[in-house]
Amino acid sequence: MQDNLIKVTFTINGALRSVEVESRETLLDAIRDKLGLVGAKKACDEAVCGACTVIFNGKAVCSCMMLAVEASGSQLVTIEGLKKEELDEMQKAFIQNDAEQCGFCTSGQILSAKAFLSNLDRKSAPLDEDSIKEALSGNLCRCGCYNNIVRAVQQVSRMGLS
Amino acid sequence: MSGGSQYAGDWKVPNMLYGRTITSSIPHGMVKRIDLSKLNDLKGVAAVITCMDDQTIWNAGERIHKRRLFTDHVRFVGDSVGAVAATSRNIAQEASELVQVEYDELPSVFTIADSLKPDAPKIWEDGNVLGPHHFGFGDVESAFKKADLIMEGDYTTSRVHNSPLEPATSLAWWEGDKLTVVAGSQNVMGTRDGIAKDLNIPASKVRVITLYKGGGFGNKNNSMNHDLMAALLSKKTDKPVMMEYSRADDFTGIHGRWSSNQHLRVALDTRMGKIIAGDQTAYCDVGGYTRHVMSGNFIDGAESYYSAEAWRGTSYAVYTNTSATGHMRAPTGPQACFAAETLVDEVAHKLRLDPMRFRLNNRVRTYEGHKTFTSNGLEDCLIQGAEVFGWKEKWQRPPERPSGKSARGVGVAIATWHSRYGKGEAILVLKNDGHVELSTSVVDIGTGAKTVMAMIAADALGIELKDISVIWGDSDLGLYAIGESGSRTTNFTGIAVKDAALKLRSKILELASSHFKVLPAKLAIEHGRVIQIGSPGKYLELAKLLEYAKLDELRERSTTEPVVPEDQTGYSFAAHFAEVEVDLETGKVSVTKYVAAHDSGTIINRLLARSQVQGGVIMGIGMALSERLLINPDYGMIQNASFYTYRLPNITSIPKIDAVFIETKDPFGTKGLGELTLVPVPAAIGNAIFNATGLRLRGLPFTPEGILRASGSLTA
Repeated sequence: MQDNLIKVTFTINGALRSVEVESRETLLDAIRDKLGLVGAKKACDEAVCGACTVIFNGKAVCSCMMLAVEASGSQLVTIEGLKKEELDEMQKAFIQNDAEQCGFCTSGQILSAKAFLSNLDRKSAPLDEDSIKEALSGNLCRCGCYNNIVRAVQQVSRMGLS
Repeated sequence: MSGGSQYAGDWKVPNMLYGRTITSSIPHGMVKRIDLSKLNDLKGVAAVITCMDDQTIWNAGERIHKRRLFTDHVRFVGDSVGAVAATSRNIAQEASELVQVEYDELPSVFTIADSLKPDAPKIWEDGNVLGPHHFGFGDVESAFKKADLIMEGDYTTSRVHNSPLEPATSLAWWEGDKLTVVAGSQNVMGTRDGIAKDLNIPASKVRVITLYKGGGFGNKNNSMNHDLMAALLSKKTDKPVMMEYSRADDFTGIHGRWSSNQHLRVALDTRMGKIIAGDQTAYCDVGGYTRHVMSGNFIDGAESYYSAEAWRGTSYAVYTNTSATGHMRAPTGPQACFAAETLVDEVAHKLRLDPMRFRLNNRVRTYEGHKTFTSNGLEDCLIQGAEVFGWKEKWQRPPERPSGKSARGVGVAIATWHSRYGKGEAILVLKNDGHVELSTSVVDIGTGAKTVMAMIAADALGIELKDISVIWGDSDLGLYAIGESGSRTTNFTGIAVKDAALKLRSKILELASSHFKVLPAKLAIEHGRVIQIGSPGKYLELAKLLEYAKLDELRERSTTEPVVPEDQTGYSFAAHFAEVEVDLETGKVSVTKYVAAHDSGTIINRLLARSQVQGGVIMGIGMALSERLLINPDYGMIQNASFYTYRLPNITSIPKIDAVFIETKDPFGTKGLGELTLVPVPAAIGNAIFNATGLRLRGLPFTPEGILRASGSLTA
């Protein structure tokens, strides 16, 4: 039975936006269907695979497991928010290292990696392979791009240290 | 990458409805009555179609028998009896649950053993077994008589699932009598033809578009039932309909790989250390429907690994009241390889020989004893793979039994896969701005096929990769392409692309010769310009050439169908090396190092080829260690239809995977790669576990529980 619609406002990719959603509507459905931001994917709809990852107030979260109303007043970043005049450094690294095959999990991988690197205290925390893998352990890839994804993230992480 | 790619589920068209299937809640029975009355109170339901009012046959849905799109004879929990379209997903879901179906329930069977019983319920009118299907060569009986030792064993592989990250999705709409389907298809031409046949309309009235697909690994080779459901619902409602499968629907309703229960015997000459012959039999649980359409066998491949004088293979497909099966990356391969490469490993151990050297000495030289391979790099795969892996340093004889907290070991396995050649088509057009457009019907499901095609064309033409754009993924191009399956794309379509490029190059040089006033043989194309060989100052941009000739474009179309001579055959080869660490307290197996050596002829794009190797190896690690569809013993339905409980490999469990390419000089240039990368993986890992612990496991997957049981740690 359809609810009355609720108006939710948040900042998404730097812009203040409002959407009208049902109370039961997930953030994933709201951004895909109502805002046309289809980069986040519905692959499992139960927060295991990470294909729906968005950055919510600086943290990578599964948008399929968050209600749209919970995002009220938040800062959201989706994959569409990365590309400005040219591709973001993480996107470039993914291309250079062939870190995507079918591409379905890619936006989730990139956002999880970006959230991880930006939340890291790079001077103190060593950026070893294991910590990168741990950070991306919530993003499944059936095509098997894991080796190249790790390389891409390592490449970007080295850029930050100078 | 930046969110712009259009997968089927990303499309949004005006007035779009959402479709859901109505599925069976029982494993076996006949539909007696369908009551739609509860839908009357639900607003937003646009149409319902059921087996009571639709007779459409889904021809690609079952190999031998006719499978109705909406069946009145349900054969597994989750079988489709109808579909509904509504104005929102939630309403469509609710509607599908409000449809009341009454069944005359029939007895059901969920195991091969039960299905083979003489009084077993008939899943199909002509019985529950397909086969025997034979493969192999030579006289096995006399070969076995020559043996001074015969070894044998029983091996099992489990039901696993393609599980691409993109769940099944189709969008369909009609414009008059023309149907358009946005499908996540691996083969737009095959899907178009299949849909046309099933709906009984001309192929020219069907357009299939696939721009991007989120993986397939064999489960979207031709028309799928959700394509047809979307089309029929759209016809009935006169609106576009989007059929979306949930993850659970995808596990249950879309096919996976059949299981195998195998018995294998090998005949040996122990003095020479030679494998004389093999005899392999398999019973495969194929579920309620099997979509397998290839060689006819349900396991094969191992008959071409070794220089045996005979090999007999026999496979039976046994229907059960469980979910359907069909193609998954090398459909018959890893099952056959697991049995063969495990038993061969047991032989090497018994004969006290290094398992890598034993394989090297016995490797195949001629196909089935009489045909030559177009190229055969198996020897180098073993030698160079072993070198890169460090086999000599790492391999030691295994312990008698496991001891301590953990153990490390290494294993090797080889495999081959047929590499076929067939029809391909391509159109190349030089535009008046100097840019080149390449049209083919390949779909890119992640293999990088578009890039490879562009590279082939750019290389043959003499232009920069950036000056070529690829148009693909639309059956309205009318170009034949075999699609992304069977490891054939680079071969079939690549050959046509190269041919078109070389022909276009000739046309360009012919045209240029009158401008340069020299013979075409004195001209060449480099970096997008026609140059006169030996005269550095004399060149002409391709755009200018067309301008002078007063042409808008130059176009070349090629259809190729290379033929392999009768006495030859094309095969790809592989040798895989795995190192594992087994935690003897928990039974958990970690793969710590992996080297995959492959002979696929010329490698066009090394980066993409490495990705195919990594992908196949990771899928194989899943098949070896964590993936198995759990079938409920009382209702036959899949109990783990979720990523929580069907455990795909996770980034934390994957080591660095090294690919070694042995680029043999094949007369046809390239050989298939994509499927073979999976085939030897489970065997290599099982052999490494044996090397580490002395425990020989003959059933997939190798679960922690299985390891602990084998070691005697788990007695309950």
